[in-house]
Amino acid sequence: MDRLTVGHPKLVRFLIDLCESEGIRYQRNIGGGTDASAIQRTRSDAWATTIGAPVRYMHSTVQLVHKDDIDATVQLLVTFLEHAHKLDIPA
Amino acid sequence: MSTTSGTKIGIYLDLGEYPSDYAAATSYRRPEGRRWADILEKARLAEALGFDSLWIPDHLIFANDEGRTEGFWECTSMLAALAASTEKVGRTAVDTYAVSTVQEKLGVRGMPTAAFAIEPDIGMALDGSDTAGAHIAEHEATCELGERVPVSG
Repeated sequence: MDRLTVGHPKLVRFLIDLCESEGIRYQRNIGGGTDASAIQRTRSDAWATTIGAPVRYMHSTVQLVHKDDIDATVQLLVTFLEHAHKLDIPA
Repeated sequence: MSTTSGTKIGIYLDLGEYPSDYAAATSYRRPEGRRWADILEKARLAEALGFDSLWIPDHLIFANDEGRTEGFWECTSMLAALAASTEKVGRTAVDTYAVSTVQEKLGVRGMPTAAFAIEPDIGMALDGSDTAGAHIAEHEATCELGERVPVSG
């Protein structure tokens, strides 16, 4: 959840289940506001959420991330794409 | 070519398009020309042989150890072309669109036009999460760097 979006509960649950079954370390996040909000407002029942690495000193010239978090984000995105067809999306 | 263990096997396609005098001018003996037709032929051969994915280099203008500049095909355009020209290599069971937007200092104004054009069933934003300098102890306790990928929800 962030200032502009509430992550779709089924999508978030699906991602967390993937993390746990595939051994991808994760944490729940409350963020500021991302492109997920625009996607979610495209139409009724568009499932949206945000994933990404923790950033220290965000929006500054000295932003820091940890490489392991980038790798975990990529791993989660790839794993999601491999399993996304299993989601029961309403027609 | 997926194995019984679930391991998938891909193949690397070199995209370097070298000058006609490249082999003579350098110590390397490498193919001199690599056109779209050549790359597509290899990609389709890889697909026919059962490879699961295609991998290409991310270079635009590349200088080798001898300081000579080599030309490369731009990688994201090439991946899109290969995806459109092959049947199953690297395909997932869902259609996937990658969108990049200019966001910072303008809120999320970049995404709506793309979202309305695509009409996605599922949208996944890739963004950073806060571990901001304020309230350091609180953020360090809940959002450790190098520990986990955050999921918003």
